[in-house]
Amino acid sequence: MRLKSARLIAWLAAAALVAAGCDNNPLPAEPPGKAYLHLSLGDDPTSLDPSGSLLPTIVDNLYPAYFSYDYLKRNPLRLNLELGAAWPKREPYRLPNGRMGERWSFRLRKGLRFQDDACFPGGKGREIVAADVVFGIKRLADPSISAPYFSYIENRVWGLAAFAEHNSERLKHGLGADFDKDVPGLRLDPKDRYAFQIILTEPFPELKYVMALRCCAPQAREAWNAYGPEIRRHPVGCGPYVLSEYRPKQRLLLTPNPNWTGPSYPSEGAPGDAEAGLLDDAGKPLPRNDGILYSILKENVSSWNQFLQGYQDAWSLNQANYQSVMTRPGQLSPDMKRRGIKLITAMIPNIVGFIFNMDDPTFGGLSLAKRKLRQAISLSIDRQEIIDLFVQGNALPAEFLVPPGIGGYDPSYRNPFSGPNLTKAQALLSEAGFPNGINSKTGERLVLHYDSGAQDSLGRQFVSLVSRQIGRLGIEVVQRSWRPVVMSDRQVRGQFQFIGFDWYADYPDPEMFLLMLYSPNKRPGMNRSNYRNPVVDRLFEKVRIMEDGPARAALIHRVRDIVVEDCPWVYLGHYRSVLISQPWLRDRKQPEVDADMTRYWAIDQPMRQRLVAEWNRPKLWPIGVVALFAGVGLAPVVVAARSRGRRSIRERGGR
Amino acid sequence: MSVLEVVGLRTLLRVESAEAPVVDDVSFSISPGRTLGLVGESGCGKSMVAQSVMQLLPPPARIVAGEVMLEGRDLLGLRPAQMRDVRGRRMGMIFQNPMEALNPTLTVGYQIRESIFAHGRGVGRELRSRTLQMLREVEIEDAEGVAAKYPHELSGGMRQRVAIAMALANRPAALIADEPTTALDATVQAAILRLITRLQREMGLAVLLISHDLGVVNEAADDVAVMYLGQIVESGPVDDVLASPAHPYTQALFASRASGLSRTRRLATIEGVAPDAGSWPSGCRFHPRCACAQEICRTIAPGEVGEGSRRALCHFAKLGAGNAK
Amino acid sequence: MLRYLVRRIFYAGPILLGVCLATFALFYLSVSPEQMARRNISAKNPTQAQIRDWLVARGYDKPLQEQFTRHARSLFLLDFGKSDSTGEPIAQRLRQGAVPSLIVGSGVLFGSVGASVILALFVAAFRGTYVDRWATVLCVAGMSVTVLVFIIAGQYLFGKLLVWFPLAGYQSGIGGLRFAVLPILVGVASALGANVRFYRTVILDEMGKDYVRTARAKGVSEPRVLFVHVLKNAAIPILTSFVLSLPFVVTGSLLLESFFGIPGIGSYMVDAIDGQDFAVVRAMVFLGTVLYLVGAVLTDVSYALVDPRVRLE
Ligand SMILES: Nc1ncnc2c1ncn2[C@@H]1O[C@H](COP(=O)(O)OP(=O)(O)OP(=O)(O)O)[C@@H](O)[C@H]1O
Ligand code: SF4
Ligand SMILES: [Mg+2]
Repeated sequence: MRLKSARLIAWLAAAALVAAGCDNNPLPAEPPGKAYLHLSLGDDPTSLDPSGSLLPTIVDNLYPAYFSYDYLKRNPLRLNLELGAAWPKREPYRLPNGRMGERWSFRLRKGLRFQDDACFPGGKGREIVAADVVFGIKRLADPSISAPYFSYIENRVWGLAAFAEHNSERLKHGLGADFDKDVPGLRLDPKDRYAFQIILTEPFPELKYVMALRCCAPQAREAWNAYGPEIRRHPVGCGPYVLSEYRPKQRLLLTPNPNWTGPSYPSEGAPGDAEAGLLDDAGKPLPRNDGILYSILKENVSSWNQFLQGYQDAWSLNQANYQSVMTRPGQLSPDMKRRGIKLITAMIPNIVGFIFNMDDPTFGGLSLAKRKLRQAISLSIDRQEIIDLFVQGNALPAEFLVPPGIGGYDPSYRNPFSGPNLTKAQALLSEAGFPNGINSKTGERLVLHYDSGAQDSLGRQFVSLVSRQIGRLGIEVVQRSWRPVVMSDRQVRGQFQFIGFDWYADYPDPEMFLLMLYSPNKRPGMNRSNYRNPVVDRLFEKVRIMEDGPARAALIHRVRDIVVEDCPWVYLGHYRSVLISQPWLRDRKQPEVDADMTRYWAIDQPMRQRLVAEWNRPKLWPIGVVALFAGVGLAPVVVAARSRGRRSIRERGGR
Repeated sequence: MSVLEVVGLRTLLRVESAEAPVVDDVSFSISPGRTLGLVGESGCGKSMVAQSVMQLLPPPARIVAGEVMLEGRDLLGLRPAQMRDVRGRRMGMIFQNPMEALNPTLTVGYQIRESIFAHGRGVGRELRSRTLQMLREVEIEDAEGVAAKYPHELSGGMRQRVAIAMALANRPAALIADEPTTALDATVQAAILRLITRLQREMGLAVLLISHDLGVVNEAADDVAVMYLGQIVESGPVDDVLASPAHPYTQALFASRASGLSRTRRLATIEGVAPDAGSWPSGCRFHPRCACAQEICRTIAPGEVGEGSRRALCHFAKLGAGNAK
Repeated sequence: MLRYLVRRIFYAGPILLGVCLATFALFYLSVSPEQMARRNISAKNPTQAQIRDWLVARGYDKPLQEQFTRHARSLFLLDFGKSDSTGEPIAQRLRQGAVPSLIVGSGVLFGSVGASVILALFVAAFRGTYVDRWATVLCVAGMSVTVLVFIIAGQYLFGKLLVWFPLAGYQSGIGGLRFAVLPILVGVASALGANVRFYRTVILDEMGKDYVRTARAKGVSEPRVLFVHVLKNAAIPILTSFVLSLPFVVTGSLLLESFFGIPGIGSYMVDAIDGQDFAVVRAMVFLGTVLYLVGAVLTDVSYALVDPRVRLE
């Protein structure tokens, strides 16, 4: 007995020792003196190929482009030179067919190098020349990679569409893209290895923004020859970082690229930035951290809990955890405040709303009655209620497509058909021939089919709230929910009356939004409502080729006034992304374009170590509770078993 | 001196929270080299007696009184671990159904070996040779071949031989055989019976032979005890009891056998059915079915009457009358 | 034995072909190639030309019959091809994911069988007492609670309060052990209820058999009776449930892996269905069928190993 309990104590002591050696840190050890940024991803990046990737995360850090957006300045967003040596020269150019196009002349910085990689002779990164940018752009016309941004330049760069067609033809015969073939619109300068020209078939001022996208980064032909399509998992970039470790479904590690020479931390910012400490590191070299460690964690709950333990440095809020972080819009919960968590909001130009199918016999068309019908529905929507309930108020109610920060946005404008205004809506509905939702001719109730791809409960709640709001007019709203694939198919085919629709800009230009009103962009293009108004088309064609300024804004306002009256859209809001970061994360400002700017973020390592240790002190009471329960529960068994095993029948018989 | 002596054994069985006796004041003793036959209808508690002696009762049953003496040791006073050592070493047991009594997933050889090394007797080669020797002793020719076989590969008779080998592997003083031949066909039965008798003779075993079959008892037993509803109602030397049964139950048993077609093996043809434990009649337990029952039998339980080596439990036992010899 | 194997392999062919055909038919009944393309092209608004090229590049523009023969042939040659959405070779993903899935899966499987058998023996030894009754209550409670609750509770207890293990994550090599412990513990705990109840019944059943009484009559000690005699016989039904869950060890546990960040292949199939990645779906269905067939053979073989009465015919 005594021996046994001694052994038990020894075991418990051993277990306690082992437990003391354990901790809950999920991250691999970092080299001494280095502080990596800790971030999480929900899944492997689909592609790290700048030509094939839609998402900026990681790719932007590996493949910088000619321009980049200023980290701090906003409103308007500003482009800086990243790889470029000078602002491009833009001049008219007469094409052989006699039409007037444009020629842009670019020049890269000298001394830029690719990252070191085995595909280069000697494994050393080669110097970057203009031909690498041209190769990168040509890769967009490789039909086997479905380049997401190709459509912006396909028909604008002279000869690029023909080149793509040529490659599609080759694909049918199982051949790869023919990168040796020349594209007339992409020209190299035989005398200057760093210069190149892009010849456009029409004026396209937004080319500067396209040249800030990762898809126009220089790419090494050697990498393509060595790895082929696998460069989507084996990037050979030229940016501030290199991908030094990639374990699928597990983690990615970016470490600084020794070959990188780029701009340093900005020394001027937007108003308020200096006070916020965002200029403390002005002029210091980038990247501001020693590396970025992305943990791939599929389950949101798990990565959120790791953020709370301090093992993630930043977190982007989603509908599932708004509640636990924020008490009111813009207000952190007391627990978050106590931890010193910092709240950041930013708006990537976007519009969330609903569209009508303009070809629908009941709700489509431009006749006065149909317009009034749509205007009535628009007036029935209570934008603020939806925004408060579903994004905790983190959105700006929208009056039109164009969001703040974009040329042509007018903060003072109020859409006359913005809801909620039920009296006005009822009046319009009567004028449209449906008093109280009843067809005055046939006596039948008006039915609106609301299609959605809502799969989860949140999505369904959204749909039913909107349906209830419209239903207040007496219209019967029929909700139809489809699998996402089917829904997108119906959207493209126009098999709908009324659907939710949202869009964000790849670059900060009003064209990005107005293109959804242009009739040549009709389905399957982005004008999914099939809105057709020749006046708007004409205006759009002018706006498209103009530089931002008051003249362009005036034209946009004219478009707006017509479209608001025609009412193919119901505008809900411009959504803000809400992000939080740990107290030790410095220099964090959220870009207002879809770009990855983690290279600017710095870490206060001593603070991080102190707080993480403080937040993860073990609490040992559960052991006591378990031991108590086990002891109380099992003691009688042990006693019974002992006596049973030790007593003879005669000793037991007296019982 | 007797090897196995049971005095006043009383075992209760719990049936739905109430406890009732299944073995009630049972006493007997067996001397070395002798066999006691225990007979009685199905359900009268014969197996309960055997299991009480072995202390292998199923969980709802427990011994509450009596004495079980093996070679002068009081078994009921032994701790479970000591009792475990007695089982298989000093007292072996074989069961009715050799089909199920052997573990289907272990070889025959292993199961015999196990009964030897469970008592720490012999290791390695010695263990093996003793196993084979045991198999030969139970008249299995191809001992090596059989040792490597699984029970399902053997016939019923062979299996019972294996069971006997297991029970006797440690040369015990007593053997309890609970209907060892019931499940076998006639020719095999006789062979097994002969085997038991032979081994008994050679080893000087005291045997408790439980059976339905009076023929078996007649052939193999020296003494007989007749059980009815948990009690031994009559006992004595086999020849005497067979010749002149004293108890009306015994008489009825023998009558049923005599009147049966040539040789009825089972004792099941007495009028009426034996009631279950817990609902036994008052007075003499046999009275509802007894042909000689009188008023007194209904209320007063009969005491034991004895004469010489014979005992009976009946108000009207015809001990003297029948014992004409 | 050989004849048995030959026959099983002979039957496997038509079964696999049928499964291929069913997958093919069901997939095309639920999505059109164009929907597939639209779902997998990363562009916000793929052009018609891009959709066409996507289909051409993956052979989905060919006549259905030709597509089917091509898919079936390469699957039978164990050439799984590349994922439609990421272009990643499927075999590579399986190779990388199988090890973590195997570590966690086999840990859960062996752990739960081991723990369940021990607990079931314990409970069976105390049958009819309050231990038995409370154990039954706990088992039923454990069975009616979803895995999710076990996961959250395990993460909270060990990751947050005791700070013994990371909430989630993975590392290959010996250092990865501490990542595997928690998912295995949780997986074992969640399987315990059903297993213990089942094993307890099986063990009690065996404990009532005659051979147990024989063993006791030989003077065999109680632990030996339980662990040698009873367990060997109870192993037959236990093995069945064990072998039937073997394929899931290889394919991984979806919830455990996604909550604990195990880079396995648990969600590979589900993600592929979600993402309309037909290449992955058909490969995984094929592989699943193969594993299931292998599992069936293993069941038979293990029966024969454990129970001498069973012969492979
Ligand atoms: N495990 C058990 N649980 C409950 N009751 C039992 C159990 N074993 C035996 N009994 C009951 O105990 C009584 C005596 O049974 P026992 O097995 O001793 O009879 P038996 O004389 O050996 O009969 P048989 O000739 O059929 O073997 C019977 O009424 C039987 O129903
Ligand atoms: S005591 Fe009476 S009832 Fe009992 S056996 Fe004797 S005569 Fe029959
Ligand atoms: Mg019996």
